[in-house]
Amino acid sequence: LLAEGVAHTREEVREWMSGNLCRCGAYTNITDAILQVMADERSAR
Amino acid sequence: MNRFTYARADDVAAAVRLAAAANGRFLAGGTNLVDLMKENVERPAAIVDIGRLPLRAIEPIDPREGGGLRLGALATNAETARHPLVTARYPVLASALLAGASPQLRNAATNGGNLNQRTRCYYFYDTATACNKREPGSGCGAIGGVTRIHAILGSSEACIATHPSDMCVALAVLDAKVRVTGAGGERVIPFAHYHRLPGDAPARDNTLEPGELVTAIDLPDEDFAAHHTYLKLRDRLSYAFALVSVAAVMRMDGGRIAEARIALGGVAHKPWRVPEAEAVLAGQAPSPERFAAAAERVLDGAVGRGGNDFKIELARRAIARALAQAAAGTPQSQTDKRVA
Repeated sequence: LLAEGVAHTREEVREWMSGNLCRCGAYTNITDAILQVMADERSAR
Repeated sequence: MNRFTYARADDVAAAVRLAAAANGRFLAGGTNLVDLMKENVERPAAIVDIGRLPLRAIEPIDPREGGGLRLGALATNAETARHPLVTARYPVLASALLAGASPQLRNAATNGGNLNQRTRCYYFYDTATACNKREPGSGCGAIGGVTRIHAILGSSEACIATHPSDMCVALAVLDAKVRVTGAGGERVIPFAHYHRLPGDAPARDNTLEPGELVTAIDLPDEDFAAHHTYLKLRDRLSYAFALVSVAAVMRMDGGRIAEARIALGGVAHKPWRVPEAEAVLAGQAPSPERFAAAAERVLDGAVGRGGNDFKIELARRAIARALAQAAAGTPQSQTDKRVA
């Protein structure tokens, strides 16, 4: 998701995660984690 | 699943020969056919794997042949949606592709396979029920059954299934052409004639002859990039088939609509276009009244079956909204799902 560079916002992350299995209970935390890594990578640059 | 033979073709001629010899089915991305085989809905005796044929290119068509863009049948939906020539010149197609399936499916599903995918009618999938598409002459389980996802236009007493593709709705407004090769050589099928209505032969989704292989989809050299939209309405905001979808494109000329095209998905056995409805808009200034009049014309003859009655009004409103989006140059986002 990060390498392809298609998702930048929360809405985009959610859309591009769509279709994955086993995200029903945890997906808000997964979205948070992706956004956190994205922010960390941006500030490290 | 039934037993079947498997052969891999190295070129188009071999693929066509292998399929003709064994009455085989072509396998590309496998995202639909393999599911159908697992469910015993499709029971081919032979599989011809076309995954390695050199049909993956997306490239401009020589201007001497009329120009435009050729989409290889084996280019994936994902690579088609992100190809710079598609996003720049045919953004309604990129948008429709991104509205469909999920990223993983789009990575595997091919353009040719998208055209040839089967309906998702529950009764087609359930081998315990009657279905004229799956088992000709057995009847239609959907008529008198649960019809939420079924057709409101162009259906017959034999079949009320819909074509499930998003991509094909965009290809319909783009006046695409489908290039196919069979034992008799190559031919080119205008998109409006590629898929068919069920009539009394619903087992046939399209006008391909047995053994014919889709090799490419040609997009004409026309510019609708400034005024387009793909508006898809569904029960879940992502990873769901359309209840109703609308592809709309326009060319504007000094504040008036020079040309408009509208196609509906999720409502018929094929993408639904009504030239008379498009003519209602030609030469007119965009207005809610005009859009409503065009929508009314598109829905001419629409019939509900109970569970899908709501689709008629939904489609009317979706067309008017899509035309407003296209005219304003503000296409529907496929990530921010709010309909503006």
